[in-house]
Amino acid sequence: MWATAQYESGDWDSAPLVAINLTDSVARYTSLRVSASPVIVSLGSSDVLRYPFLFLTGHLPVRFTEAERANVRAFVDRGGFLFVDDHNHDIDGVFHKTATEELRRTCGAIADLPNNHELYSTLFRFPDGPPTTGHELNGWGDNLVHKNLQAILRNGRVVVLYSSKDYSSEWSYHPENKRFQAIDNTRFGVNVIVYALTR
Amino acid sequence: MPSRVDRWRAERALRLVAFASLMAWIANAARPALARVDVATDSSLNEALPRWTRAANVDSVHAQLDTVPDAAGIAWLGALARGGVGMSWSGPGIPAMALEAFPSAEPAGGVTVLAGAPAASVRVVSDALGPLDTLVGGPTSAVRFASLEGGVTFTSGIQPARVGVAPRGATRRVLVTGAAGWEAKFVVAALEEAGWMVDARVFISPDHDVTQGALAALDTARYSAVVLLDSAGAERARGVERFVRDGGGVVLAGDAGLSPRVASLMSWRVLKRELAPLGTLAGDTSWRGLSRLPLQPTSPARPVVLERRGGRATLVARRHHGGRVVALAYDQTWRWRMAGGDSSRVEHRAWWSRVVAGVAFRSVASSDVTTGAAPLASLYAALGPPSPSVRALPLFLSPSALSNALGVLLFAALLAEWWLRRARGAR
Repeated sequence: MWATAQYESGDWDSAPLVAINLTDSVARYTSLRVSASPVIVSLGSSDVLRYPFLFLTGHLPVRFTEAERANVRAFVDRGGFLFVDDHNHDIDGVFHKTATEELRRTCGAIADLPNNHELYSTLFRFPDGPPTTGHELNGWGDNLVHKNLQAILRNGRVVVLYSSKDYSSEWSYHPENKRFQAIDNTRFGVNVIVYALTR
Repeated sequence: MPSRVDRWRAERALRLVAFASLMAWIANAARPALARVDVATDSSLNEALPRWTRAANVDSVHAQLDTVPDAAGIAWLGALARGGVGMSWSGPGIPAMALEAFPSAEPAGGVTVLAGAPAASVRVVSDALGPLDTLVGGPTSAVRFASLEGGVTFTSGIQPARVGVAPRGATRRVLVTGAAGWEAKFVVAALEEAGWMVDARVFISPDHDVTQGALAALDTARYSAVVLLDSAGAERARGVERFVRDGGGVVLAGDAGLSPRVASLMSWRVLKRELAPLGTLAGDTSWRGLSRLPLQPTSPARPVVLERRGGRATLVARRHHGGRVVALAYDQTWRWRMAGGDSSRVEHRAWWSRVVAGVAFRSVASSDVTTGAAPLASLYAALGPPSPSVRALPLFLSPSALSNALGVLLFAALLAEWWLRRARGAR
């Protein structure tokens, strides 16, 4: 159903457990058919077009190769959904600056997504917008709460979703450990996938 | 100097000539039917029709044609035939041909032209502005034009057929329903890109669905067609059979036909899923994705098979009361769109739009435009089957000229015989 994007620059594999954790959540909350084994696909390969949902994360500067740029452009033009998460959780960090610039150059203008967007109510309801991550509130003590996600839209639909909230850290744990949580924090990830599938 | 015997022989010969001329003159006068056949060709038909209508001494007329007259001409000939005039016609060179044009239900508009004529002839489709396309291949062709000016003219050799294009009826919304997945997402996207207004209901879990648009009960007042993408969509759809009875269209994709709810709409079975061989490209239109569920027509109400792949039916259609049902074997067309070639997105969109337009309900727009034409069949309908060609008699063989000539011959023979008798002293 979906894949983690492998790109030439940066550390694309910095959150290896996110894929399996989100897959577990999708299977837990929906009747969607999912593959049990996570898929990694090279952005430079045309195989990216076999997975209409791509997850891309990292800490380091992002600069697409020409092949990667062409594939991402084709992917978005044909209706794919790209979810990019900054694994650093900071403001104007290197990943944020380079990734948003690369996305702007490849796919078009990127802008804040309103917190009442249907993405926040597709399956679970998030009336205050994107759920805050643990790293925003404590962890590294920065208390930097990003109020909005950002997005690139085509025909009113989100085709690229960009997060500075570090969901890569938030969801990077073994699915079995969900039992220790009062509220499953991957539910928003399920919303993103359901939105991508239904809009 | 001739002897008396020679003169007597000449007299006898002249009597024989006179007698033969008299018999021929009588026979010529006794053949009224042949004498009154009036033959007209394409070029003289317009002059002949008023003459045939007014003339009292014409019992039989014959139209010898290279092309079919226009509608007024056919009607006039038919009226003469029904009015008691012995009408016959012949036209061995007129091609059997048919033409139909109808507006597409697709939001983008367009006109579909169905044309049939002998494959050996030069076949050209034109509109008011000039030639549009030359048809090649088999005797029948279906051609879609984005727009046409005025009516459509189809020419086979020198024989034209002309039709108008009826105004398009209103096209309503399309409902797409099925399990949430890439197929649902991309089918909705394709139809919307093609200009269809789409309502959608996709199922995420047994107790949760996501909707798009203001969903309403299936009714031709709101929807032109419903697309059931899979058995989940078919299982949860309500009122599909009644919707089709009322003229609505249904598209059954993938395993939707496995649902008992739509069994009454089908005259085929859905077979086991086939997977594309390893190495098959997603853009391969023989698969339109990488899997399919072939369809097996069942008797007695066999459907029309619109497409076959690998010997199996992959696209079938049938009428059900006032509506239409079409079934597709394909259940992963999204792969064709996403991972096909550069044009696959456009092809995927156009293909889905055509499938839906093929079944979509269209409100009837009142029109007196003639949308179908079959010139030779019209002639058969008006005048019956043709008769062998009739040749106009040469002038010197016309009944009156022949009668005069025989009269002169008779008089001359009798005069000569009288002179010979006087010359030998007889009275």
